Amino acid sequence: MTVTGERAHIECEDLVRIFTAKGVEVQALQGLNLRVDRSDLVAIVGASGSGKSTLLNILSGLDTPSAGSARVAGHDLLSMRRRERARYQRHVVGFVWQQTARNLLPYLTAAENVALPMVIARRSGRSERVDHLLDVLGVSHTKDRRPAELSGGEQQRISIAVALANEPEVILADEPTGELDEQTSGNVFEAIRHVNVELGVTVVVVTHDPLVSEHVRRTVQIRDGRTSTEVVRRSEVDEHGAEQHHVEEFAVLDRVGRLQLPDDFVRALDLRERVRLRLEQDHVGIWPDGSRRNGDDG
Amino acid sequence: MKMQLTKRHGAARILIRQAVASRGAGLVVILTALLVAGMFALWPRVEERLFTENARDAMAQSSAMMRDLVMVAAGGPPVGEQAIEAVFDSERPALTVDDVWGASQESVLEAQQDMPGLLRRVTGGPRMVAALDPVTTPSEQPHPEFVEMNTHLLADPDYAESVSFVEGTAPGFPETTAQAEPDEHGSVTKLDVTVEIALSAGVAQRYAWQIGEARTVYTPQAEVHLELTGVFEAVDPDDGYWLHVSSALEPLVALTDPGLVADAHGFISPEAIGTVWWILGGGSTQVTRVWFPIDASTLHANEVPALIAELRAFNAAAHPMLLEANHVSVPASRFATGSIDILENVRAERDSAVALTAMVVVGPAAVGLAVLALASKLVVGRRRRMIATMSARGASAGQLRAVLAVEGVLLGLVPTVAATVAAARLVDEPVGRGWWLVPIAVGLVPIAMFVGAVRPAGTTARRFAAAARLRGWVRRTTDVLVVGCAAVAVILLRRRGLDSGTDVDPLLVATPLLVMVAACIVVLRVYPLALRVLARSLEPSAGTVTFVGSVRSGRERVAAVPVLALVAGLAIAVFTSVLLTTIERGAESAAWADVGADVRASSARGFADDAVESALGFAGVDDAVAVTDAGTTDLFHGTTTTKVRVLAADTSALASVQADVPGAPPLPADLSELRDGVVPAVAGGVGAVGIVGEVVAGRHDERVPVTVVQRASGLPGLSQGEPWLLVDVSAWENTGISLERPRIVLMRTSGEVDQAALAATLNTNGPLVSPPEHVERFQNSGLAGDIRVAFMVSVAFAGLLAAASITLTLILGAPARGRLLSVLRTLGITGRQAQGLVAWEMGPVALLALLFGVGLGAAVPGLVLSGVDLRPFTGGREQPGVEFDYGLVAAAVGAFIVLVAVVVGVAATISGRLRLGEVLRVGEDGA
Repeated sequence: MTVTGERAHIECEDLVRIFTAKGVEVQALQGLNLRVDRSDLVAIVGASGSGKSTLLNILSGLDTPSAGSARVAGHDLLSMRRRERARYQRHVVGFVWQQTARNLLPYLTAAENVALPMVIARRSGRSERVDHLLDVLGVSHTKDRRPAELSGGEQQRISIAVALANEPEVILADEPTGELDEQTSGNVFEAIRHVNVELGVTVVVVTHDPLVSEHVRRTVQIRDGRTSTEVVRRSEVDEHGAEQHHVEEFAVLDRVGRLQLPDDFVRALDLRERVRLRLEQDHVGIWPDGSRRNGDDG
Repeated sequence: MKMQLTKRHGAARILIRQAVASRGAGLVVILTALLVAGMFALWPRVEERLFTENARDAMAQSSAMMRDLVMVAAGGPPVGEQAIEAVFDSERPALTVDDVWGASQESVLEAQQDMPGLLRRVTGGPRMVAALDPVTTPSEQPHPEFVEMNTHLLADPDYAESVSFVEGTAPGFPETTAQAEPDEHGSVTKLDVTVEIALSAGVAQRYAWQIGEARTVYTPQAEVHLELTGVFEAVDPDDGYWLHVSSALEPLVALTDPGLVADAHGFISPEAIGTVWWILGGGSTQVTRVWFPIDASTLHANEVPALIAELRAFNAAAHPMLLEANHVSVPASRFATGSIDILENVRAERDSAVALTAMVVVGPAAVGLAVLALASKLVVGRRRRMIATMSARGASAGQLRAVLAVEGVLLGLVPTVAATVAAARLVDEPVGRGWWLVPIAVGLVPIAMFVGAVRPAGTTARRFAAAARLRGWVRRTTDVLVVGCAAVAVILLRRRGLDSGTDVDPLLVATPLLVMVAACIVVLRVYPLALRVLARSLEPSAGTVTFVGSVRSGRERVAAVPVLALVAGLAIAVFTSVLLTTIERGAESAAWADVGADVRASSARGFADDAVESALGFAGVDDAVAVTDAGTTDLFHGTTTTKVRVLAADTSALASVQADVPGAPPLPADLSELRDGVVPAVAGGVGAVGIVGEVVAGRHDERVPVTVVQRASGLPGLSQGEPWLLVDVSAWENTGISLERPRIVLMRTSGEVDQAALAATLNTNGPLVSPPEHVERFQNSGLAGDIRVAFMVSVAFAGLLAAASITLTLILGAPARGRLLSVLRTLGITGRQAQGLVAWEMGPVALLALLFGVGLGAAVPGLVLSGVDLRPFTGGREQPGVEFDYGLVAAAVGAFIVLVAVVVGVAATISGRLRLGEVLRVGEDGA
């Protein structure tokens, strides 16, 4: 994880999104922080209802946050006007949803589906680009077929091609492998990674799939509308020339110093309400509030 | 939209793909648009055509005498010196037709040239005929038929156009020989003139006048021999010309005291008119009839008001005709025509028909638009995903709207333009520009529905909620406004009576629509409440279907369009059947009021004394009475004078004949005897019981004392709206004043009567009339018949629309129903129960719509019929009261329900077989 002074490619700070339905307010995001560097590949994991999809909807410009700040490639998602939003969706982000029905129009062939975003963006040289993208994703043979005539994996790979049509800087994918079997799922994820590496596109993937989350360098966990922990995987070649995989778990500290402890830590020490903190030379220690426990016993 | 249209991956190709993919839904929109626009385009054109035909028929059926523009001037073409000198000097160059008539004809043509365009278009070439006083032309042998034969000499410069000689030659200029005759002062020159004449074959034969035979007329200065030189037949006996010179083809015969007297017209050479006038005494009157034949065969209904105005203006001005009477110029005079009355009648009929049909059509028209909107929803449902996907990929609202607008144009505007053009081709009638724009504008409905499906990108939930609140507010406000407007319209209409204006009254047309929409709103708002109550009361005991069905119907949004369609359709079915009954019964009572008995015979020359006896001797005639119409005369009583029509009959026979006639007053039994020398009378519209007055009657205007013993509102078949007195023939004749011959015989009949034979027996001058035939003849002529067809068409159309709206609503509700059923199936309901749920979806609302629709249809006639003049359709003098025929109403409602049920059933079967919901790709979002 790199947190540098320079602007990240995706930068969310204290992002809040409140839904109001029939007078009941649901706070889907409660001050979420996220930074993703250019050309990074990040997986976002979390239980259902944790706010993953809300975050992705905000990043794709389909939804507007209630408060906080969110910037993607220099576009401020809160202050974005209709015209800028359209430009943003056309040129800056591309996305892939779990259901192919949301990615592809059923009556268009694969090639036409890939061409559609370019038609919207009035881009020229469409045919060449369609051919190129289908080729990159290894689905050239499906060109003239309609989604109904394709396998789930092929559909998702075409969906990735659709997302890439206008050379976006960021690809957002919401459970892109959710409806696929393991084998296909692997292929599709491989395609995403390929795109990330070859084209240098920043990728954010929301997933449940451990196959995906365990194969990305950085996994961000969202809990109750906040980013709670991050797992960073590094591979280093040790002195014996063998590849070493390092997995480190981090908690996220926000600007004002708030920190969310992982669930298992809290349970293990039965941390409740108050904890003791102590600043050491190179770390911070946390203890259960002993006085309270004594009080309870007494 | 600037999407590039490249071949392989262009916008156009993608649009076409999309359109083809949802061709089922698109086809439904196209068909609905065609149907609705076709109705909007055809209706006014067909109506205009019927009005045009009606106007042309009314004009064509009227007699030329009445229709044509006629001027009758006392005088003839100028008689110059030449005309008189020609009598004495046969050496002089002959007079030509142009010498005599040229100037007059010129002046008539000038009058025509000054006519405004429309009037000039419908008038034919002018004709002029000069007629001299009749001369008696007895044959040498006593004539077997006539006691007197009169010949009117006519001169017509153009008569050669109308006659063709079958024997002999056309008459030439008179030949004169002057003879000096001795008298007490010496000698005078006595002229002996031969005037050649032409008679029609019919007249020559009836007059027993042979070619070459001369009949002599003596005048103070001449002995005039009228010599028949030519016998002709009419080139076209049906030409209106022969009505203007009425007795030229057949003599006119009148029965007088000494016997039959005949009058006929004969032609002399046209250039001889001045000469013959002088020979026949000079002082005699000459009458010239000038007329423009009116040919309405090119007249269009929309030109009628303009033509009326032009005729009025033309008739109001005096036109100089360059005619002379006794060498003095005839002052300019005016033309007159009965066309104005005919056309006014046509216009009144048209206005009433427009108002009635507008009331009947406005409902289906509104429903048609609603159904088109419903059909458009099918396509919108199919496009939602495309909108969502494209919008997420950065398509602007403008781009999406443009795409959908193009589709709307293809599915909506193109069919409506096609339908309008086709309708205009099919029924090529000039209609206002509005009737081009309105049907085409129907195509805007799909465009609006499609374009309206695009919501601006980034619409937040907060804004959604605000929009929903706004929609709720707008809806409540609209509800209140519509119901309020309907109430105000009803009150206004009730306060105001029969509208005498000529234009279609917007209030009159709008009120039924407003009331209908208000009724729908009430149904839609009351329905959920009613069902909630029903559901609550059913809860403990009801089965699954009843419970789920009633709860669901009460809580889900009710489909408004089928409710509107059903209420409108049923209201129209009931309204039209009430209207038809009202018109039919109105026509019937008008017919009885006109005819006055089971059978009525009339004779212009009067019935023989034994007419009643011979009628009574005829099989099937139970009773008969002869009625003398003594005409309108003055009634004096006290210091006032009133014009009254005096009718005389054997009153006891009249009472018996009219015993079963609706509207006939009971007559007192003792009308046949004088009361102290005074004639007892029944009076209508004049006097009071007990008053004694005198009426002027008889040859020498004697005064006959009468007393009113009873009053009545009218005498069927006899009184015609103006004040009248009915007296008994024997009481009247006891005063010593004789009556003219009766011209009317009324008969009470039973069973079949051979009317033709009866007419022959009575020697009537036309067919007999009886009320049913009268009604039939009336209803099959003109607009009354067309109205009936129009009503049936609109009820059928309303039925189709209702069926279409129900089917579409069921299809649109398929996804939600499918979800519900799949939940219920897992709980174990049967297929039959599932069908029951579908029935619950439309059943209760249809039932409520039935109640409201029928109620509305029954209430509206009383409300609006007072505002429409129905007299043109009944032929009566009085506006008929609203009449219900419950059998007919039930039949109309039943037919409507059957039609809707059959169409929905067929559609359901087809959709079940084709899985129509899938063909139309409804609710594809879940696919």
